[in-house]
Amino acid sequence: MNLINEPATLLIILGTGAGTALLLWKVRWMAALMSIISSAIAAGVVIHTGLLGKIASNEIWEFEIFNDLSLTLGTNWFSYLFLASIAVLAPLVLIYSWEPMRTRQKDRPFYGLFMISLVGAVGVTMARDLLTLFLFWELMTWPVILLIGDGRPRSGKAMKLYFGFGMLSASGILGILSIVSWSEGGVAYTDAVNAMADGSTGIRIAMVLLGAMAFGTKAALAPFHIWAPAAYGHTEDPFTAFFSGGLSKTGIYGAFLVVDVFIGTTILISYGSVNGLTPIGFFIAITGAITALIGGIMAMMQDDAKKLLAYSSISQLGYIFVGLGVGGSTATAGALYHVLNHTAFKAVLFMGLGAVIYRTGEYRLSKLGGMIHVMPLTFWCFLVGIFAAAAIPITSGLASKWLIYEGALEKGVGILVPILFLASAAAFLYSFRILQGGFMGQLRDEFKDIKEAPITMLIPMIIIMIALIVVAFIPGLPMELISRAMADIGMEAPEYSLISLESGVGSYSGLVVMLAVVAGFITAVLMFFSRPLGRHIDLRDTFTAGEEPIPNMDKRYHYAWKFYAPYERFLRPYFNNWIGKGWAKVYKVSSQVARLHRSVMNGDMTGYIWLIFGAMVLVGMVLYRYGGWF
Amino acid sequence: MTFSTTSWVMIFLTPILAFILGHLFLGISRKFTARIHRRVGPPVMQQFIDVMKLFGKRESTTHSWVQDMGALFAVIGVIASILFIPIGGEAVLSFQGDLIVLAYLLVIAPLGMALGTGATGNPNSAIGVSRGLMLMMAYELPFAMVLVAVMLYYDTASLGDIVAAQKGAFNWAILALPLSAIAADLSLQAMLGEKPFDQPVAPSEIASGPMVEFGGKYLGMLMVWHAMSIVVEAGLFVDLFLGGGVIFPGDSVLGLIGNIIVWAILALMMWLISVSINTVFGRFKMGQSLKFYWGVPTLLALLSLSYVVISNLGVI
Amino acid sequence: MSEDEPTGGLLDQDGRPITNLPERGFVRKVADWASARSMWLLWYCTGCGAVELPPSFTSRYDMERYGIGPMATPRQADIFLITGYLSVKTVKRIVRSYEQMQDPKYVLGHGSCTIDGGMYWDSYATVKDVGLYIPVDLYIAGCMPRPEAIFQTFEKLQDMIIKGEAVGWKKYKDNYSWYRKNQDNVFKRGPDWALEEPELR
Repeated sequence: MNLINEPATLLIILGTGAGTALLLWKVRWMAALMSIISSAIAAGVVIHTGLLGKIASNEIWEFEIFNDLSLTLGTNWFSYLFLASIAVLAPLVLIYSWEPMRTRQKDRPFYGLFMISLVGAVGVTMARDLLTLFLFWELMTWPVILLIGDGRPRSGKAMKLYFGFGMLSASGILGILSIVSWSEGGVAYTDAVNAMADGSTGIRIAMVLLGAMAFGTKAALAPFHIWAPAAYGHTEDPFTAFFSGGLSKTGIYGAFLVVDVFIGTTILISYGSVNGLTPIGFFIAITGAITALIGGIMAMMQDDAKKLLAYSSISQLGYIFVGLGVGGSTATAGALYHVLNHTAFKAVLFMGLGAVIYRTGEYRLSKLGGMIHVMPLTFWCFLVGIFAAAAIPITSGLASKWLIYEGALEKGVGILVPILFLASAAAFLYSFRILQGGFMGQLRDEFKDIKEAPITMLIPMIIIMIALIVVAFIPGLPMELISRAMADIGMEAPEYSLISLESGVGSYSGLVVMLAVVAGFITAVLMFFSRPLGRHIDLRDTFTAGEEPIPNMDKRYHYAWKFYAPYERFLRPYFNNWIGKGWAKVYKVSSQVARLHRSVMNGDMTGYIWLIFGAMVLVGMVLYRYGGWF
Repeated sequence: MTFSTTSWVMIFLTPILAFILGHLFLGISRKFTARIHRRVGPPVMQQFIDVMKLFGKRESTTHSWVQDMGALFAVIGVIASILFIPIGGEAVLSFQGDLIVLAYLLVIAPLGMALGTGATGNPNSAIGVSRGLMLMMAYELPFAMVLVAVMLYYDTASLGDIVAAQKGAFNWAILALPLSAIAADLSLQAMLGEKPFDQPVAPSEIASGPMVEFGGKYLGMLMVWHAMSIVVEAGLFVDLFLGGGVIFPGDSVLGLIGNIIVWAILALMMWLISVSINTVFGRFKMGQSLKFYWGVPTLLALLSLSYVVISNLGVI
Repeated sequence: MSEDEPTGGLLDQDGRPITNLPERGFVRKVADWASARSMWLLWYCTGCGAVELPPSFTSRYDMERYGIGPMATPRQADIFLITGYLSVKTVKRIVRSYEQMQDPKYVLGHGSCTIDGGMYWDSYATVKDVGLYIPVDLYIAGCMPRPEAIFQTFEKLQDMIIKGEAVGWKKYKDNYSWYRKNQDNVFKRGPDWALEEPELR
């Protein structure tokens, strides 16, 4: 099968799956099976085409609707990167969903909604004009809203937030669409490029701002991020892995599209640059860095584990925006690399957490604890995911962040790197908080007998975990794809070999770093096993200053509530959700406008008659004054 | 990747060197502290005896396999990071991974150790680790600014190149970027965990924090980690600001040994500065240390960083 | 445990448990030498004996010269120093802390009260003989023992460790049922006690 000649193949395969899953949603195993099979076939097609290298960059497939209106689809390596990360993740998450959804109340077509949103996401990456992009964007966005209500308190609010920001994002795309069609008369990407090339500075700035509104919202860029913790925190647990790992990448894709394709480096540089850093780029990068910092610091203050990971997701996507904004070969490669990394590790994190929630039914860190004793495999997968999120060198997580840092250093942006370092320090903090709260510490009595996560949940996690570790040895492997993707947006990839990456200011050899770690491992093991193994003792046998353990020790000795209390006291005033409050003001103003509208449109017939009468009088007066009719 | 014979020898010698130096440094510092207290103090070799005793204990207890893993991780991380620190101008592996790789490598050991301590189920250890991480966030800001200033000043992220660029008389970065050096030394105090920033292991408050459940060989592993991490951190400062201790031409083996000795002496000096601050201070509260680090050291580092950025732009 | 059950282990003519000295290879001898040079203390300071310790480890006498220093928790400590009288209520804590220490471990009874109750010889609330509940390797007589006496005891303990004669930890394991019987006379282990019964490995 070939993706190029028929880009619709993929959509047809997935669409069939989606349709069947939606129709048969009451027969859940059937719906699950159909969606797993169709998404697995789609993933196979994507991988196969990619491995064969049969991605032709400029072929476009048209599907005519009306005389002069047609949907256009196509793939190049750049969109393939996003397509692949979404399409490959989907079957893994679907397999993972099998077990947790099996026991869930049948109140909504989970698989059908999942698949529709997948079709939308895949369509977004394959669209070749803005109208198609818009249609698929909506297809991707709206099914999710039905998956958000998980029945926990405040999930309705999360749904509303998602709805509101979905509207914002959609109107952003419509704005871009209207700018482009107004100035060029067409909506294809080439028209957008021409519109930017011909347009004035105002139009270009409008494009950037609308792009930030449209795609930044999806990718949770500050200040559009406040929907993300609520929505990620309240979606069905299995879907969150795809929501945060996969769907958020379409926002990144759109941002790249606007900045690197529509506007392009040449136009950006025409406004002046310092070391190749443009004003618009700097604006994006600093927004991204602040997003990373806000996300990190908010994440470390969360007790709700899903919210913690959601804020962490915001923080990680901030890094991608830094890479995008800084631009140049190294940072852009880093941003694209981080897209792949984030897809993998955020998926494994939400999966691991989902497994814990599935077994325990608890998502608050202060009520969990000690899962290492009952769910060791889940813990391993989760740990590797955390290591990747914190960019610890024994996983692939470092390579992408390293490229972003080096890109920023190459351009001499002194202030970005310390902010990012601080954000990554915050990453260590929240990483450890979720490990300590969920997996370490005392095991609660009620969780003493729970089992390891079921095999269908473990397999996807283990696959991703192995990928994360293997890529740490060969950080050059994803660069094959990234260099092709960068060639398609007219950029040159940094120097790399299979085992090492090079930038203008330094080098990172994954293999050597891993060998050093292995050398350390051998030494440590020799040192450790020179003496007999330690005697295993009970968890309650801890230092209690000689006191006999108190009753309910399993709960009282678990230190997880307000884990970073001194810092929360210090930082809260500065991170007091002022962005959220700002949005609340916007909401208030807009709802007052709506109330004015509603006070007129109140369904009372006399009111309408008076309104019509008034309007007629007004029109008459205007005509009398200017038209000279009477 | 081509390694000369010297590199190979150094790869094998470095961990052993760090092991010996680390325990020696700790022994000297105990003697040093004792002299400040007007005591006699333990023999310089006391640290070696302590580690021998800990590994010689007849039994040790563990709460779970993650505790074992934590003890392993601590030593793995510190050995991996010492290999990326140039010693006496000899860039052992540092041309294969630069400062940013090193900055993240340094985290393996504490994070791994934190895992192990968390698994013991003692709240004191969790409190200790949370304090340690908060402290890390406090000093990370000035220290990151220092790293960036140095990297931008020498226009390279490679630690080996930074050391090489400081070769020659009065060419050390401490003279070029004195404010950065001061900020880095202040950060070093918390990095080494010395007073007033020893909140993570406050023995009288939280029963030695992370180590509370560690005994026998487990504590021995952590002692080895602690000793070696002193060498790593003090050595990092020497490489960044004191020219990496390169005084003799490093072509000959004799010159290299001389450089290593100079490097060790400079690192010991940095460690003793930290220890002497330690002896005269009490302990800060967590909020105080955050306020401290985001105050003066950050200001100094920021001044130095903006100087570097502006001078790179060619304005000055 | 009832009175009739056999206590197990070896008893000397005073009815006190004894044990045979363990065989030591070369490595064990080196380790013992190291542990004689590096003794970390866990202080159990309920009684007035604690006042003699600050002069012992500050600049006047400087305990650290011998590698002796205070430690925070029983897991890290080698020597359990019981300073002064022991009330009946605290025996439980003593036993728990002792069992949490890791072999080899040594116990020093500091002051007359640990030997025979000292000036509290007729108190209903004071334990007269610590050796009934945990094996004491050496006693420091005196009320109070001066730091000189404490140092003399440490030197004696060092000698004993190097010679392999300080085997209180082994005595405890060999004669656990004897000690357990005495402990049970004073306190009952609760359901959350959670410590394994020691056995010789």
